[in-house]
Amino acid sequence: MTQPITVIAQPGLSSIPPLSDEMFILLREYIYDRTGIFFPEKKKYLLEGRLGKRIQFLRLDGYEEYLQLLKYGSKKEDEFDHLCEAVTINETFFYRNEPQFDVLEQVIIPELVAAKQSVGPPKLRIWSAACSTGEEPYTVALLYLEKLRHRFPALSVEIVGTDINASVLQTATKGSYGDYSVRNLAPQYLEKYFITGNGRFHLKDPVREMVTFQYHNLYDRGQMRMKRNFDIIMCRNVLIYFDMKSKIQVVAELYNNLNRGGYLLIGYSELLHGISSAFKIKSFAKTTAYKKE
Amino acid sequence: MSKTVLVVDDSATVRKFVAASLSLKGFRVITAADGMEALEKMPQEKFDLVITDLNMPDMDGFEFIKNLRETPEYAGIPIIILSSIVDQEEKDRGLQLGAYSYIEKPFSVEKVQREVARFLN
Amino acid sequence: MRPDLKDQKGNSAQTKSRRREPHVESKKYTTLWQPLTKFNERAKNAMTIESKQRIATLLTHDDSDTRRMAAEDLSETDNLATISALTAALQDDNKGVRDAASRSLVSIGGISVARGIAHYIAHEDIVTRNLAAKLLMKLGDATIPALLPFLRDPNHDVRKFAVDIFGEIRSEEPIYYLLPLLKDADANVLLSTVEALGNIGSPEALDPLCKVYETYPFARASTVEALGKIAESGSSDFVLGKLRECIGDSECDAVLLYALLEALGAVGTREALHVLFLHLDEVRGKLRSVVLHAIVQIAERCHEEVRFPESSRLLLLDALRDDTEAIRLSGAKALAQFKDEESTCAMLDALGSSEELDFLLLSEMFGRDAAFERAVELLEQGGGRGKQQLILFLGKTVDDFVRASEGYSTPEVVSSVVARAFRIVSMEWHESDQETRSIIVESLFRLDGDRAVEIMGQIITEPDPWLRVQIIELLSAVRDERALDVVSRLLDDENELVREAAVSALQAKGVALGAAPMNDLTW
Repeated sequence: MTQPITVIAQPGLSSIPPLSDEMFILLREYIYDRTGIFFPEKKKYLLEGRLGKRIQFLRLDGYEEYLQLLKYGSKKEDEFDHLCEAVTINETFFYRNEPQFDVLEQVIIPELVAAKQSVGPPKLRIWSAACSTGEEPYTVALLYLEKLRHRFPALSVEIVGTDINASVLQTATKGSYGDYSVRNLAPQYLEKYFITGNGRFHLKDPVREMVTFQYHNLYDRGQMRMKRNFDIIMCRNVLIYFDMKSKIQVVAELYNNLNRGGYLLIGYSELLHGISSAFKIKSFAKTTAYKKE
Repeated sequence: MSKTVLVVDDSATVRKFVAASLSLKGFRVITAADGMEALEKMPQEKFDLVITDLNMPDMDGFEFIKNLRETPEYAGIPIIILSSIVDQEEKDRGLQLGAYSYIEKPFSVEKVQREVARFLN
Repeated sequence: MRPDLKDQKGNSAQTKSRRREPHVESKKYTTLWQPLTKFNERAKNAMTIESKQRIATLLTHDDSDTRRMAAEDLSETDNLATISALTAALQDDNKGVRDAASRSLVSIGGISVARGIAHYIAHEDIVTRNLAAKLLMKLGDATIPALLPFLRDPNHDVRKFAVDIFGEIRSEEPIYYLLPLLKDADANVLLSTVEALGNIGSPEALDPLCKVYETYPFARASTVEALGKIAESGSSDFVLGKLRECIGDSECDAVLLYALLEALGAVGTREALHVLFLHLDEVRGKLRSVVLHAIVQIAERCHEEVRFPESSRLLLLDALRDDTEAIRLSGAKALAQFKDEESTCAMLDALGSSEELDFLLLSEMFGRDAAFERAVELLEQGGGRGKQQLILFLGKTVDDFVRASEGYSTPEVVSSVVARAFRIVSMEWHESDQETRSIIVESLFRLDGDRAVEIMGQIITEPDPWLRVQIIELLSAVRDERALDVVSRLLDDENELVREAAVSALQAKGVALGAAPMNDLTW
């Protein structure tokens, strides 16, 4: 039995005027200042469409009024959350960019464990920055449960997933995924770590419990300075939405967030050339990792 | 399949002329402006030989060669240094770090083509 | 090799850094830092000279993280003492510290910074030399007065470094100091000067460069390249003359020939076209693409219409597949006059490597009737890099295709081609990213609106609510009104987010939604 439509709209609601070039620049400046995300000219249509829907929903007159709301409204912080939902792109899936996970499993983690073992029981803190709906940090959890736990019995792992978009984080905590997300997972993983139902794949509790999700803005320096002592940071596929200047800032802070000996992993087609010269480059056949020495 | 050479030099002119010399001989050439850019490009392509300068911003030739030799996948790749540095100590250092050969600048096109052919045939 | 940074107790930082630091959490910086300043931009700007000085002393702290963060926080302090401390930090053992000091110095900018760094290009350590060079380039014009004296340094490596940096800065200011180096005793300094003058682009260098060509054989290719970069038609006669000589000489260096052809493309006049066409067949192999490129460039610049003979068609097809984008573009422009099927296929196949080339190719394809079917075939065979562009093309040209086919194809044949197009485009959905999906949806509606509604209706049963929201977004961007029918099916979706998205999408299009008064809710 389907529910009747409960939202009531005024018939004949006129559309808002299109996004002018001036307003586009003002809005993109605001977004950039708060998040580091940069909207080039050719993505103007995207911003127009996504914000337009929100403006319609709020029954505002147009983009100018929306910007006023963002800057001076009484609920501006709430609206900022909605803004982030509207402007962040959320494509991700389990085991995205396999060679990096292979390198993590076969080289990076063993190296870190060996270094820490000399001082006591090894503990690794791993941060998945801009984790969206959570597939990336959960993949690390799966990697640990399936491959690392037996090799390194004394190893304990703390995994943190963060994002600027509060609603994807909510989805992440639920740990429930569709076909598209799990398409890269070997069947053994699906059998051992997921419960299937209704065409959905639900992560079992032991996996979900390994990851903590938090709200975090990579471009907020105050927030960044509070993240310390990570051994591995994964920041893949989000740097492409920044411009040079915001990339430089974010990567500089990520370096500071690492322990000495720690690693940064970035997206497949991304380069730190021109952005940071602080890391030691570790080259592998199919991927590059960046080490803080 | 033609062999691929990576040419690393901060001078655009040198990159262009070395690339031209080699592509005229049927090699495929990819270029990079310094060691860091070169290392970041390596996972996306398969290289058969590397030609590198020594003086470059962001990562000089010595660090680049050292990095290559430390990586299992590139430990055996032929490396040729192409540089204006004539100091014998520095040249030796390059060869010790793992370069196979050293060509001095200004270079002749034939010399470059010969050296590359030497290692890729 | 590097000067030893000593901390307040006089202990050598170098010795300290040689001790292997265990992988323990470094709490030191945070505890030191909090009392000095809460991290907040306004607070940072209001920092007194005193606190800035205190931060500067942290540049010699034991802990490298502390040194690095101190360097970062001095990015707006332009008093000489700080600049001096930051400059010393350029030689820190730790890469992270050097990186932070570099960024701060560039951010401060100005002549004092340039003066503080300039002498490092003569440093014995290669890392320091290269770092200094990189920063001096970034400092731009401020570097010029600081670096000029080094053009006369007795060490040829130092002179070369200075020349290279001026070449990157590209200002015409130091030109009269650079020109004399065209007679430098060291060949590499000379060559660097030639390259730098090409980068700077000043016509003052034209005559001196021509003289260098005559005097120093080893510098010929470089000189010609520089002439090309300066791109003044005044050098056209000179370059053309040398090209004629070179082509006539069997011993001529292939790289020199290449440089001459390239330069001629940039400076040549109508007269050069004649020579180039004459030699199009004589020049061998890869150089033929360079000749083609030069012809196209000159033709464009001189507003000449150029007709390529049928015999050069294969050459043009080769050029379209060249590694260099500029040559591919020229190949495409030249190929536009060939309307045969092979050329059409080759042009469709070349889609997806660059925006400029795609634009050129697609504009040309719009006029070609055979292109629609060829594009469908190409997609059916895999599509290569240009899938997105092919899908876009099919959507935009289907109406023209149908119209143009009237008269020489039966309706059954035409609709079967369109059906194939629809099928292959819809099959691309699952493996495509968001951007491509938006193009797929638009094209599906243009190819066959009714079937598109059917297919999208299946796709929206996608289990992931996020994807359903994305699909709503895509559908609302489609021009065809029937797309909204599909959206309205999601008004009673189980997920609140999806329902909300459906409502706003429909409202944005001015669709009136039915009101259900509360007291009418019955089952």
